[in-house]
Amino acid sequence: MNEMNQHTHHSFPVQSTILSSAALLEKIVSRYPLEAPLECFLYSEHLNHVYRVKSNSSPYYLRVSRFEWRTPRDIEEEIDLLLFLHSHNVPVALPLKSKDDRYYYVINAPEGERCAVLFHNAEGRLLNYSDKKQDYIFGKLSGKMHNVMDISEKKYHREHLGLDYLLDEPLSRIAQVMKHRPDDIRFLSEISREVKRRLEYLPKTKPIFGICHGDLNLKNVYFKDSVKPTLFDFDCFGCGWRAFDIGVFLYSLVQTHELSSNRVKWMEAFNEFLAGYNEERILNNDEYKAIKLFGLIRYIWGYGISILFVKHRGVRLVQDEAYLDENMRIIKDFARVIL
Amino acid sequence: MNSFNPVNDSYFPVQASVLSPSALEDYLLLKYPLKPPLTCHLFNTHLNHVYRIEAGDSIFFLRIPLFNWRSLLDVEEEVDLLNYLHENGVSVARPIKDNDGQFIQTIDAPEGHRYAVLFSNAAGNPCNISDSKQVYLFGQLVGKMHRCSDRFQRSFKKFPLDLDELLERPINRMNSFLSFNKMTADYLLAVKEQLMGYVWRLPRDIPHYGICHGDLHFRNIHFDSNDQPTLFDFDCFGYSWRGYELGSLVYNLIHSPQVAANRLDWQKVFGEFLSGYDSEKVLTPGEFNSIKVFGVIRHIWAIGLNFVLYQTNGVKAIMEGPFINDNIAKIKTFMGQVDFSLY
Repeated sequence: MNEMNQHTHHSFPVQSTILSSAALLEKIVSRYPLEAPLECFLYSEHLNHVYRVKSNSSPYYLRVSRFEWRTPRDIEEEIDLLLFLHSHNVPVALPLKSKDDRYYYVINAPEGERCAVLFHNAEGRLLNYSDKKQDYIFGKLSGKMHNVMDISEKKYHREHLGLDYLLDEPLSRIAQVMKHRPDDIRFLSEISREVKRRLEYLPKTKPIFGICHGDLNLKNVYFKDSVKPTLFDFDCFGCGWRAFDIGVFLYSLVQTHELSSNRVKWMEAFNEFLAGYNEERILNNDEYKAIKLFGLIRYIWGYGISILFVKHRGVRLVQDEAYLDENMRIIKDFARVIL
Repeated sequence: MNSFNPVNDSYFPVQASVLSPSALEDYLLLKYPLKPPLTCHLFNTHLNHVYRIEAGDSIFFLRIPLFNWRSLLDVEEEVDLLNYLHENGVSVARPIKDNDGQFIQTIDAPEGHRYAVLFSNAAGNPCNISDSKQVYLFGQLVGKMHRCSDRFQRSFKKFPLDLDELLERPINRMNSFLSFNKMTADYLLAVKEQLMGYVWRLPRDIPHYGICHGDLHFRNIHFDSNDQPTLFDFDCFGYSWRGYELGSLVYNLIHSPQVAANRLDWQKVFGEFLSGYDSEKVLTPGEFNSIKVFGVIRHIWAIGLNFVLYQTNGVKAIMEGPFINDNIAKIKTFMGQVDFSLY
């Protein structure tokens, strides 16, 4: 570890970096018991930077959190949760243990400390939502996951997936970039008030409230042989209403391009999911009604994240009126259908 | 599970970085004749990181190419070209001199040297596609820019936008990432040969071949409130066929959301642009006919560009999902509309 080439401290200050895939292979991936030959390249960059690691046997994914996005304690808690779910037969993409018995490393990036975790591949393919059986299996697995999470004794410090985090914070960010559009701001605060009014009665107790996946969209489950699912990407996990997790799935169905024009099709997929979920845990009527509201909340949360990420992508995006128009259009459409 | 730091005091190596806007504020105040209060915001991130600078009553844009995207020589030549165009009455966003009279800063980023240039603001808003006067003026300014650069007694060393750059390299990059089925690979090869066979027969001298902006679209020109245009973003400039320059614009027009949203006829918009262009520099029938062919070439170049960015954007979006198939389908449709006769 001391043989690392010293990067001088004279280089210009940075706000963020993309770590070198070659250096990650040499200095981090090499610490895991993997079968050579290995390759590593940047796979995706959004909330986290994900590198695909190819070995002789199977691919793995190295997730490097952005600076200030996750703390080492966040990562420890996520790993703890994944191991717990696995030990209770919930199929999840597990982190790998390194040869020196570690599940994660803290990397000293130029902008600050960043955590790296190497994950197993979730085998198979994306959920095919036209396959009712898969929708049902995914729903059933989600219900089981929530049940198992309820028997965990752990108190996690993770940010709660409450309405302040999911709705108030994003809306105040949105308001910042829409100062010149007072009608839209008024519309959004009315929506927010109405959504909160309707969610008031939802209790904050198990099993209605508890640990959630946090981003249970249809791209975060893979199916092997069309019947064996594996869940992954628990990066956003936290305590919240289970109707939120389900609302995220609904949101992702509605967002899927081909489905936007085909209401019947996504309703079918969603009903199959619910049938599977109810097999494990019966949703009460209040929760059921809340799901659609959480779908809208998830959209607003995502919009808020894209504004947060202006720091990384540039302010040009939010100065584009067409972009703001499009987001308002979707929120209004969504609101019209569910409120 | 204690945290563990494998790199001790040294920083972990990086392949890309976003320079800190607040550090850039201090740097600009130190290097340029600008007065506080000065603010710097990251404006756009693509092949270049662009920062919007406000200093006093003035707005500037600081452009910093990704590491390895542009060499010092590329940037020096671009600065020379812009200064020449400006001195000869072509309205462009100008590079700004620092306290020592230099136009380019070499910044020691963690991944390597990056070459920053501060530009004057191109005042106003992007060209309004529905405004035929603006579209005409856009064409006129491009014609003037081509004519003016043909008189520039200087030969540039920067790589030309020739068939290697526009077709060979993009297709090679695609092939190195994607394992195409035989049908797609054969199709791309056939398209490439047809396009190359055509372009080989085109004249390769002034005024048909010369300095091109390299990335003409309706957001790289601004019009102020008096309809005075300013052209900017010459990052992709190089020697090429003027048919390619205009073909790039056609490619952008055809795929422009603005054209679709306003139900505009791209041929009509392009006709307005061409009448402006012709008022400065007349196209031969052969050049006119080559524009659509170069539109396809531009599309292939643009697909290939996404594979250049894999170290900053990741490979998921280009290797999975509909990206490649959608684009190849579009090329097929467009190829069907192209007339490959020379006149």
